[in-house]
This record gives sequence, structure tokens and C-alpha cells, in this order.
Amino acid sequence: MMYVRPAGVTEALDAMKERPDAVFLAGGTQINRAPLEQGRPSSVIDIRDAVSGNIVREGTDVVIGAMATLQEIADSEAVPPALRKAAGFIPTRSIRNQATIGGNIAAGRADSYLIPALIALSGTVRTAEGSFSIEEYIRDNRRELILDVYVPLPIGPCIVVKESRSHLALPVVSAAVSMVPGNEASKGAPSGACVAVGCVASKTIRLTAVEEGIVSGTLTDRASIEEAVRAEIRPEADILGSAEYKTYINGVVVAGALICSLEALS
Amino acid sequence: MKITFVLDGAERTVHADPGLCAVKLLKDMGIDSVRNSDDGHGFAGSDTILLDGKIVGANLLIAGQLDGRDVKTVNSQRTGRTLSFVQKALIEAGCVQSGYNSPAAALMIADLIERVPAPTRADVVDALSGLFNRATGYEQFFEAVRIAVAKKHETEYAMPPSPSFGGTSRYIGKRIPKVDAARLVAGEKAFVEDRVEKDACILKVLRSPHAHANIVRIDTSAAEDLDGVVAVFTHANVPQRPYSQAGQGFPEPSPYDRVLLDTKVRHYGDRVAAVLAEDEETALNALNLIEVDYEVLPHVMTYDEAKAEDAPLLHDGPIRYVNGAPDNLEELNAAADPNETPVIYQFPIGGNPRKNIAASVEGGIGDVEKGFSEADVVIERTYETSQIQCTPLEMHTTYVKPEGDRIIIHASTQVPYHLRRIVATQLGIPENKVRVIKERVGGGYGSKQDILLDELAAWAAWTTARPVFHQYTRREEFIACSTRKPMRIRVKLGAKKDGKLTAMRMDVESNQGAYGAHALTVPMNGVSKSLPLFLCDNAFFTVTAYYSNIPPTGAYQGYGAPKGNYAMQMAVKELAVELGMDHYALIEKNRVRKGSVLEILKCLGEGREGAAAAVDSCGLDEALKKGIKLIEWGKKEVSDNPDIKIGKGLCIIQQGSGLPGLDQGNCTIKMLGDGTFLVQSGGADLGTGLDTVVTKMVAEILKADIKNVTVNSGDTDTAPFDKGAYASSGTYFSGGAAYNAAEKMREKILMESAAILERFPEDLHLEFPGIIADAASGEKLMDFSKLAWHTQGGEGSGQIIASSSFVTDKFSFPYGAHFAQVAVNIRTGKVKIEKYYALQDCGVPVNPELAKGQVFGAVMKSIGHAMYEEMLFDGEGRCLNPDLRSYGVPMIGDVPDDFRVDLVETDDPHGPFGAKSVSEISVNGAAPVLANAIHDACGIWMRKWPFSPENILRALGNI
Repeated sequence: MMYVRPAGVTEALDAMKERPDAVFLAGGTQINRAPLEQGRPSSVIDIRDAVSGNIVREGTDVVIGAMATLQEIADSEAVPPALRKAAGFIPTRSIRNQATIGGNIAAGRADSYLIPALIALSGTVRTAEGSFSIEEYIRDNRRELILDVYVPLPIGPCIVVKESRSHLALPVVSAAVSMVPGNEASKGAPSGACVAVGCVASKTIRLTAVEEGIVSGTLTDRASIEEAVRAEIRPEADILGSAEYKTYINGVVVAGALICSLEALS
Repeated sequence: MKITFVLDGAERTVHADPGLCAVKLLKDMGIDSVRNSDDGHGFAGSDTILLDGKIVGANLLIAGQLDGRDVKTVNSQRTGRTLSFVQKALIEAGCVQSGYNSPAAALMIADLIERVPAPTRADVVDALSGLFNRATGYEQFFEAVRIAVAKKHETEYAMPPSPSFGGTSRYIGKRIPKVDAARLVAGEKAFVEDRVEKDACILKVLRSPHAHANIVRIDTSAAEDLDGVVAVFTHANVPQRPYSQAGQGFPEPSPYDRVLLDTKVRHYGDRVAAVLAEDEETALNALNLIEVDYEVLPHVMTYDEAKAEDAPLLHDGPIRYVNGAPDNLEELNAAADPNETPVIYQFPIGGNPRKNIAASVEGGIGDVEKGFSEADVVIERTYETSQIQCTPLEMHTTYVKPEGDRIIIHASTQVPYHLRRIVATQLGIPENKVRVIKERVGGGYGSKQDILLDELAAWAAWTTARPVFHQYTRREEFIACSTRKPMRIRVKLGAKKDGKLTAMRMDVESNQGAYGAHALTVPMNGVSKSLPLFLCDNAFFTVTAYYSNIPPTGAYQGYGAPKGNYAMQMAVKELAVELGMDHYALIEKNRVRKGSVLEILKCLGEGREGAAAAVDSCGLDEALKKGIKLIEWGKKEVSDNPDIKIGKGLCIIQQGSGLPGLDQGNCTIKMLGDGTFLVQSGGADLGTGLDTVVTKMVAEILKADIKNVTVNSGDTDTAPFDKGAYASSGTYFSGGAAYNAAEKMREKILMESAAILERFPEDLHLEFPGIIADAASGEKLMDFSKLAWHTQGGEGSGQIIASSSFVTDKFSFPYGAHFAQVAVNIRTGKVKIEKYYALQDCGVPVNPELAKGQVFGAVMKSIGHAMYEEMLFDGEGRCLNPDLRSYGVPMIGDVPDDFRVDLVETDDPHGPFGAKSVSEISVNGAAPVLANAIHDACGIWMRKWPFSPENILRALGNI
């Protein structure tokens, strides 16, 4: 294996130009995982000296260095509670100690706990080649080296949820919902909503029809919200469960989070 | 690449491939305690290290990532021979069983206490969240943390009240550290993989991509030409001697239906060929160079497919019998394929491979039809269990070395002596040419009762004269191992209105898989450990084991009992509902008691004629009374959340203590020159504490300081024959042999002492510690060291050596009552286990803390089997989830909120010091008790494993 450990971002990018088949190595929980099945990359660029892992406040944003581990995020009082909780959803402490937020976003797994939370919190990534919303970065399969993650402090409720068969089982639900409070005349109705759902497609998606229904006030009770969630997802059957079950349980759990958010607003 | 890092406080520099897995790098640097249980899936935690002060998994790191870092292993915990306070706490709490990842646990707890001075239960769950531990069931780790915190702050920790067992005994029933715990928690060399020398070759197996196929062409020439390849094996250059991989007493009640490498593959993952190479990479590359053409055959995966009229046959070769051939054998063989591997039965076990039947049996007592006709209520229900993987932390491993005209096998096995016999047979050499050294076993649970890889490795070593290391991957554990057999069990019960049973019938279908290991005895055990829990004059059973193309099945803790008892206990609960009776009252009306005679066992002799057995000890009275009170039976709990429904359940369980009349244990004790003792026990301690049992029994009888007794077990060259660790036989048989040998040693000591002291033996007795005294006055006359000097000197009578065996026709049944309270979320289908109480009668518990650990571990396994675990297959018979996470084993976060084990002491008249078995029984409880509690909560019957949220929701009609 070709292994380099550049001291800065520029050198990291140069190393990548020299070896386009290389991968950036952050914590390693994805790249080094299960080598008998997924093999090892022929070249890695270890970015631990090149990219920061600091977590700092900048105005109304929290700036999280891409090398910040999930445990550091879960422990940080500077980080919005929903994101801390999402980081803590990864049930294994040793994984949280090693996995980084940058690596988690870059891996773009459909069952990521962080990505729905970051989308619901309107997070953005700063890369060596510009900034992108998390939603955009994931949706467009971008590969730029992530340097920092910017997370605005939420002005309304943000709730993250997960559901799995057992403590360490992979999830069938990983979702986050957030709402922007309306004005006084709205009587608790939100002026904006975000529903980001993993585990139901090849990557995390937003349920825009549900969001519109929440904001427009057409979706207010549990039954209709559950129905709307189910109508907007098409999960596939796999070892974690049938499509029917996944559709059902995402309806229950995501609707529960939305009801809690609406109650928090009111 | 030059890699420099601080390892356990000292700077080290090595040159290594930066992409090398950090576990392998550390192993190459002499660190054995950082182990691999999951092939880099980041699940099991055996690979735990501290990296820059943080707990991480070394399997998820490459060597380059260690450069410039601070790495600590468990070696940082111990100072010289002094264990850290955390390591001591783990031992005191009884957490060290197999010990394979005890070093990892020590690091995790040390890290926790460093971060959190006073950890809560949630903190402990978080700290140990990445530690898979099949053996202990996790609960005792909470106590270990409490002890460690107290030790750190040098405050007195009051152990929770632990009743003393064994009366006035000094060691029996008392809390004594497991004899091998210190070396295991310290991470010393202990397991097979620690014995491998640098010149060892690596053996890898090419596995079938098809569930059922004939190998029509196999070309190994390219593989053989690869540099570093030592040999390639196919059916063409290995013996074609049919055998069974079941490590059972000879002659086995399992068909000999396989050869080392065959021309036919019978399951996805079956052996096709094997490569022996100088290193792992070469071996794996060579496997890819083997060309194979298959004729794919139709496959069968279920009972119904296997027994269909036109079903493809798994074994179409000639059928042969060593003894008792049936009259229609010629007819059965008329259309046999002479080119296929024959199926050889040692004696009749009801097999008919022409119908995919590996074994079958039926029997009964009384008149069952009459009994049903006399019943006021008759119910008939069918229950199904799934295929379950044993998942030992240490994957199946062997290291075989040729040594002159002998073969030395370092094995991780439950059956060293059966392993010796099977390897000798396959190699065509006598048993004296084979030595098996059972190393510490990193979890077996039944799967290491079978000879799954040693015999092939032995053939490779024997023919090439090279040392051979062969270790399964985790994937191979799933596709090429022995697993718990899926079963479909129909139970029919008849009862009078008052609940008195009038008739019982069980029809058991077992999905045996590709080969016939334990085909008869596992499903029979499902009957023999469940029907006798209830007293009824009319009972009948049938058992049929079908060959199929699922991966092989075999023994797993509990054997058939977890499935049989799940069906039987649920059926009794269903009968109670039909009768309108309280479940507990119905059990009380019909259950077994001390003094009962179990007539049904006459028909359940496991391949030979059985005998009725008397129940001479039974702790069910106390267990049930205590459990009913603890769980507040009859009190309905209601949640504030309308989606949560709470229910309670109970069940009773039993097991055996070895196989009376079939098996045997042996033990030899030698007095050494200073009056201490070396005990050579045939027993195979697989992490359960058998060596500690043997040590205690010898020390107790000989009134010796326990520190002066050392047990050397499981080495076939040095210890006498023992049947092995299965069928809950350790304490009863191997312990019984030690008991008998110690009694013989005591007699010899008195005889020799009498001769030296010119007294009569009956005038002397032994006193602690190791004193020969006047029986009447108590005057101390001589100690053991002086006796040894006398006997081993030039005029002495010779070293005192005592040997004895243990055989019996007496049964000692352990019993138990399990209780649970569950909260079912009817909206999500999630079941939370709020309370689990296991009340266990194991006679006099010899090692109480280890016994409790066995029960906790067995319950957690059973919870896993019932709630989470299942092997899934696609339409081609391929296992879809061959890793620990997607398979679904329970972790510390799945432990019941209130988890309690109480040992109910009975004094069994047949067991040594009144002891009965404890290792297996508790795996029989969780499935029925949870199913019954779920019904109590929300009215649904979970008649099939697992009780997953999806299956709960389907039963509720929500999806």
C-alpha cells in the first residue's frame, strides 16, 4: 500500500493529484473495515495532520473540523444537542472514538445518523474547493476533501430518531426533523420544516411533501403524518426487514418526531 | 515503511507495510492479547487498544496510522506479576470465562474509570458497548466496575450478599478465583493462535459457491505453480474414508456421510479444495487460481422441500451398516450411485437417505390416544425455531505440527480424545501417533464439539511434513460450521378441566443440513429435556431429522432442549389459556418433583435402550416460590404510555448432567516431591471453570491448600481419557472422576502414612493444610511434604499416584424456573425486557460466581436466539448475513434492566459434593418465558423465532 501523511491541505490535494486512485484516510472505520470483503485501497492519504478536528463557535455557527471524532462531537457542549445525540446513536464507543464527521459525510452511507441531522440543521461543508450544503454534497455524490462542517445553531426544534432491532444492529430508521417557528400569528405552526430520512433509499433524502404538509398545516395529526411519510418513501427489502415493515416503521417513528416538534413549537 | 510509536510506554520502531492491519503488526511485535474476532467489522472488541488514550479497535487501523502515536495494550495494566485493580476486579466478579477478550474488557473499564470517577449503569453500558461476550452475559461486568472503583479509591467494597453453598466445605461452594483467570485477563499466551511458530504454513479452503452441485472438473495446476504454494488438496489426493465430524462417544449415533474433500458439494460454503502455502496472501491468491466446473443440482432448504416425493437427494451413495443392518438394505441400495460417498451407520438410528432422512425415532408410554379421548380440552400447536450460530469469540482454529512419526495438534476443542481418534482414523495411523493439546478455548458453546478443521489440517501436515495453521474467518464460521438446528415441533396436549394432563405428544422435525452430525441426538434431546418436566401417564413422540442444503448443523449449548422446551412450555401456557387457568397453577398441577420417576426416558436412550430415571433432587419448589414472589406474579403492570403493554411470563426448565451409561471421565493425581499435587484431568475446560471445579474437589478431599493443587487438563499425552465437554457433563463426570481419584489418593496417603508411622490407616485422618493427624486425638503427625520425601526417596515405596474413572447409571437433573417482565410497544413492535429472573438449581454450586456467570451468559444467548438472531439465505442457499452485526448477537445494551440469577441449592445424592450441571440449562428458558410474557402483554402468540419487531407487528396485525 502507498501511504502518505501530508502536513497540510495543499500537500494532501497534491498527493491526490499524483495518485487519483488514492483515498483520503480520516479515522479509518470505513476504509479499513472488513478487508476480506471490500479489500484495501492501493493508496491512502492520511489527513490527520492536514485537517483540523477542532470544534469552535463562530458567531451563530458551530464550526466542526472534519477530523473531529463522533465522540468529541457527542461530548461537546458547543454542538447543538440534536447533532450530539445523533453522534451518540453510533452505539460503540470505540467506533465513536475513531470515526470522524468528515469521514462519515464522505462515506455517505444511507444509514448514517449524522447526515440526516446535519441536513435538518442546515449544515454546510467547507471543502478545499468551495462550500456546499450537506444536502447538496450528499445528493451530488461530491468527493471534495471536507475541511470543516458549519452548523448553524437551530432556532426551532430539531429531533433525531433511530430504530434498530437490537442495541448494535444496523438501523431501519435514521431520521431528523427540524422546524422553524412561525410568527406569533401562526399559533405554533412552523414557517419551515425539514424532514431528512436515511435507510429508505440509497442515500439520505428529504420528504418534501411531508415538509410542505407540515408548513401548510394540512398535516397535523399522527395518522395523516404517518400516511404522508409512507407515501413518500420506497425502502427496499433486505436483511433488516421487508419493504412493508420499513415503510411502516419509518412512518411511525418519523411521524412521532414530527408530532414532538409540533408540540414543542406550540 | 518505518513506523515509530510508543508501545506500552516504550518507543518502538518497526519496518512494515503501512497497509498491514494493526492487529497483525502488534502480533508480529509479540503482542498476543489484541485479538481478532470479527475480521475488521468493528463489532466484537477483542482488538481493543488505547490509541492516544482513547479506546479504539486495532482491526480498523492500518500500521501507518500508528506512526507517531501512543499505543497501550493490556500489558500496560499489569506491573510485573501484579495485576491492575481493574484486572483483579474482573476476576473477583467472575467475568473471566473463556477470557478471549478479557484483556479488552480490562482496557475498556480502566478507560471508563479514568474518565468517570463514579460510573452509572449507563456509563458502563457505554464503556463496554463494543465488547461482544457470549460467555458471561455481561451482568457481572457492572459488579466488576463497582469493585474496580472501590479498589481505585482504596475503599472497602462490600460484595452483594452471596449465600454460602456447600455447608462447611472450605472450597466447595465458596467464592474462589477461577484458576486460569489471572493469565487470561493479563493477556498471556493461552490460545492456539499464540502457539504458532514462524515457519508455519497457512491452510485455506476453497468453498462452494453452490448449495448443491457435482464437481465435474477441477484444475489446480495454476495454483500449484504459484510461488509459495506448498500443496493443493482435492478429492483426488485425500483419503476417501467416510466419517462424521460429530465429536461424540464411539460408536457415534451419527452417520458417517462425508469425506475430507468430496466430488459433490452439499451446501454453500462446503469444502471444494484446500491450499497450503507459506503465507496467507499466497494461499488466498492460489485459491483464486483453482478452476472448477460444477454441475449445479437442485437444492432443498426446508423440511417440506426435503421430504417432498421428488426431492433431490443429498446423499445418494450406498448405505452401509456396521451393526444391525435393516432387512431392506439391499432394496434401499438398488438405485444408489456407487460413485457417491457412502453413508455408514454404526448402528440403526432410523435413517433413510433415500428419503433425505438422516435419523428418526419414535416412542412413548401409556396409551396416548386414550389419554386424548379422556381429555376435556385438547390443544395442538406448531412452533418453529431458526438456525442459530454459536459465534465463539475465538474462531475455529488449529495448529498441527508433525514431530517424527507423530502429529501434534494444538486445538481449540471440547473433545480432545474424540479429536485424536478421528484424526488418527483419517490419517490411517494409530492413536498413539497423535497428540492433542487442548489450549484455552475462546468460547465453544457446542460448535467446538465437532471436528471441523483439525482433520484436514492434520492431513496437510502429515503429507507435507510442514507445520500447519488453519483458522476460520468469521464468514466461514457462518457458512461452514456447526449451528443450532432449525426445528418445527408440533405439540398436542390433553387435560381435564382441573388442569390434570391426560396425554402429551410431540412431533419434532429437525432440519439437519448437509451432513448428519448429531442428527438423532439433538432432536431427541428436545424431547427428553422437555416432556419429562410434566408428569403424565400417556406420552408419545416422533423425531425426524431431514438432510437439506443449509449449512451444517450440530451441537449448540442446550442441544435440542432450547427448541423442545420452547414448544412445550408455550403449549402449556396455551393450554392454560384454553382451560381458563392460571399458568403457574397449571404448572404446579403437573410438574415434576423430587421422587418422581421419569418413565418416558425408557424410550429416549440416544441410540440405545433407555431406562426410567428417578428424580432424586429437584429445586423447582423453591425456585418457583421465590420467582413468583420476585416477579409479583398476578399483579398487572400498566404503563403510562398507551402504546406500551406490559406482561409477565414464566417457564420451567431442565437439563441432564452428562450421559449416564454412555460416557466416562478419568483423572490421575500425582503427589509431587514437596507434597503438592499435579492433577491430570481428561476434562476439557472450555472456559466454564471445569479446571477450577477439579482443583476445588481435590483440595477439599485432600485437605490441601488450594494453591498446592495444579490441574493439567486436556492433553491426551498426559491426562487419561475423558469423553469431553458436552452434554453438561463437566462437573458430574470429569469432576466425579477427580472426586474419585482424590478419594483414592486420600486412601493411599493414609496407607503410606500408616506404614511410615507404624499405625493403622483407620487411626489416621487428614487435616488442613496437608497434615496427617491422629484421628482420635488430632495430634499432627506428619505433613504431606514429609510423606512425599519418604515415598519418593531411595527406600520409598514410590511416588503416590492415584487414578480413577467415573461412570454411572444415575441421572442428576438440574432444574430451573425463569421469570420475565416485558414491555411491548404495540406501535413499533419493539420488546423491552424489563425484568429477567433466573432461579437455578444446580445442586451444590461448586463455583457460585462462575455458575452465575454461566446462567447470565446462557440467558443472554437465549434472549439473542429468541429476539434478534437468525441466519438468512437467498434463493440459492447463500447465507446473507455472515457477520456478527447483521446476524444480530446481543450486546451489553440489550441486557434486561433488572437481571438477576439466584442459585437454589439442592444436595444431589449422585453428583460429587451434591453438584449437578449448570452450563447449558439456562439457555432453555428465555424463548418460552419471553413468548409467554409477550402474550400476557398484548395477547399474541409468538410461535416462531425470532420475536423481531417486524414479526411482532405482523402478529399484532399492524402490517
